[in-house]
Amino acid sequence: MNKLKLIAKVIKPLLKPLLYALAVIIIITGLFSAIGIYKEITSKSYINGDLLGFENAFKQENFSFKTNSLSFYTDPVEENSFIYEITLLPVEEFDGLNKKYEVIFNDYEIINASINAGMVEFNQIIEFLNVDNSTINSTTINISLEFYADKTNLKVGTRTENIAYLEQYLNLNSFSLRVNEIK
Amino acid sequence: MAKKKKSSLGVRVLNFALIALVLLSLLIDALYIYYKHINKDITIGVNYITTQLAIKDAESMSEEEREQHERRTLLIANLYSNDKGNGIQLQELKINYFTDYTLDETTYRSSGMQYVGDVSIEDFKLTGGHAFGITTDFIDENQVSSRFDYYDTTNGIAWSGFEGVRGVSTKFNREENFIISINGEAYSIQLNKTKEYDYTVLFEISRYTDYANWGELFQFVMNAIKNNNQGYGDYYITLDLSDFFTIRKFDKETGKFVKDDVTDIIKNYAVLKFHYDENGAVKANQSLFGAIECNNSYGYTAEDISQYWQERFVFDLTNENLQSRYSEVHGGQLLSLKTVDKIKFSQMKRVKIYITISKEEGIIGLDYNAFQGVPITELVIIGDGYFVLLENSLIDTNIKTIKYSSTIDLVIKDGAINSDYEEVVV
Repeated sequence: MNKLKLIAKVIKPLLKPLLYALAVIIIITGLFSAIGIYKEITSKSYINGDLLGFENAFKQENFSFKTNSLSFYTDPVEENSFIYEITLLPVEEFDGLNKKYEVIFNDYEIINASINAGMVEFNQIIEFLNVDNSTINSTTINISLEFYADKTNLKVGTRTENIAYLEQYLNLNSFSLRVNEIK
Repeated sequence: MAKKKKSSLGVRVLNFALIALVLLSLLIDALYIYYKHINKDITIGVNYITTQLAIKDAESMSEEEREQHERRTLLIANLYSNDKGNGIQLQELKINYFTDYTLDETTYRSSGMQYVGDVSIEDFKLTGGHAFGITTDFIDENQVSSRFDYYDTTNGIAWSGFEGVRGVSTKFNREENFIISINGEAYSIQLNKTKEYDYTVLFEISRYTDYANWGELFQFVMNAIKNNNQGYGDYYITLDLSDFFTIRKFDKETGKFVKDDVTDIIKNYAVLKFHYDENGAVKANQSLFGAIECNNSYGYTAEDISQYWQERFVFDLTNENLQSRYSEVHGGQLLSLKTVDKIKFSQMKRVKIYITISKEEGIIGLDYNAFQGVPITELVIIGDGYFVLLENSLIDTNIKTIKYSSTIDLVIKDGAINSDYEEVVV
């Protein structure tokens, strides 16, 4: 009992300041809570940006392919032969028997391309000239396209011993091939 | 006595006001707890990070700009799997962004990471942890993985400059901020997300922190590419990068990049454009950065270095490529190139055209304006008998050589050719 009285005697003068301090703390937390509630009430879901223009195509109406990273690989089948092969999207309704097409390779129309049923193939000679206008290299590039129902196979080959000129040309100018239906 | 009553009244008023404020604050605190922890309504913010172009209206883009649109997505990846065994495995990730919040074309920049070999075998995990109530986690937020080659690109020039902490290239670490565009507004993204995991050790629940890093993102991207259902090819996919990036929006008024700490869930989706190839990489030009292992001559030998002035596409035309017209005056078929083909060839730059005509029965020569304006290198006439080149048939062709069989009786009318040429009998 005496101990309790002693404790009460010590605490009593401190009680009022403690209560005031607690009141201030509660008021401060109330201020922060008010800010938090305001943010919670006014916050809304949002969308920034959109995905328009990013659809994947799974077939193409007319064949079109362009790359600036074409590199030839040694043909495992034919000696001294280099090839580049790639599988691409299928082309809708390609019909070399009943439709007319134009073949454009790097902005040059290839009028001698052989077009038949589901395939296109041609050979194109490219000559490389020295600064004195003499021919330092002549390359024949063989291009074939096979239009299957679910894919298109493009094969680019050459049997030139020195493919460096051809590769440099393709690095500088890209490789671009289009087959457009003529309506 | 009167003074004592006044102060007593004032103190009572103050106390009353204080109690009222405390009660109000307690009420507000209770409301806050309700909204934050009990109320199940949530807000979801979604950021779609797509093209990083200095153009706000995608529909007004020109064809060239549209091509650029497809090239400058936030992320671009290259994966040469070498499934054909004809080269090396090459994986690359490039991020396109801006150097400041003006999002001007002059502030375009790209940076990238490149890995040669099988990146799936690497372990890029960064973890720190708490144990037994003591914080032990620390990681170097500035560290950059040395297992990649790094590149920067500005205005078509790419360079590699990683040399540890003080290299000149962009640092792919957790501190780096990239300024990007979403619908023409500036944002910044920082790869600095963390995840906490709890585990039990000797009856003590401990926690470790997993730190997202660029090596993990790289693996995440490559796995997504390898597991796509279309296989090899060039496609777009949308990646959920919410576990990797913190995003901040640029506030024009304050000039600060402000983090969203109000929205309950923030999702960040980014468009990735990728090329997935079954071949292996063999030459530097197959890299997004024009170099492999910081070597822009990778795959090229001394013999591969070629120098040339210009190229020429060579076309060999024969009777099959020509049309014919029967001329009563001249008594036979006259050949010429179709007008549509004349226009095509006359517009071609850098061509060499060789024409070989087989003088079949009934063919007697070249028609008026047969090849006018078409650049011809050489004309060869094979067969025997009379063959005439009518007026303007080879005008403006700049033809250099006319070759013909010794049995051909070649007649060249005045005005047929207006260039210096030589005749060769074969």
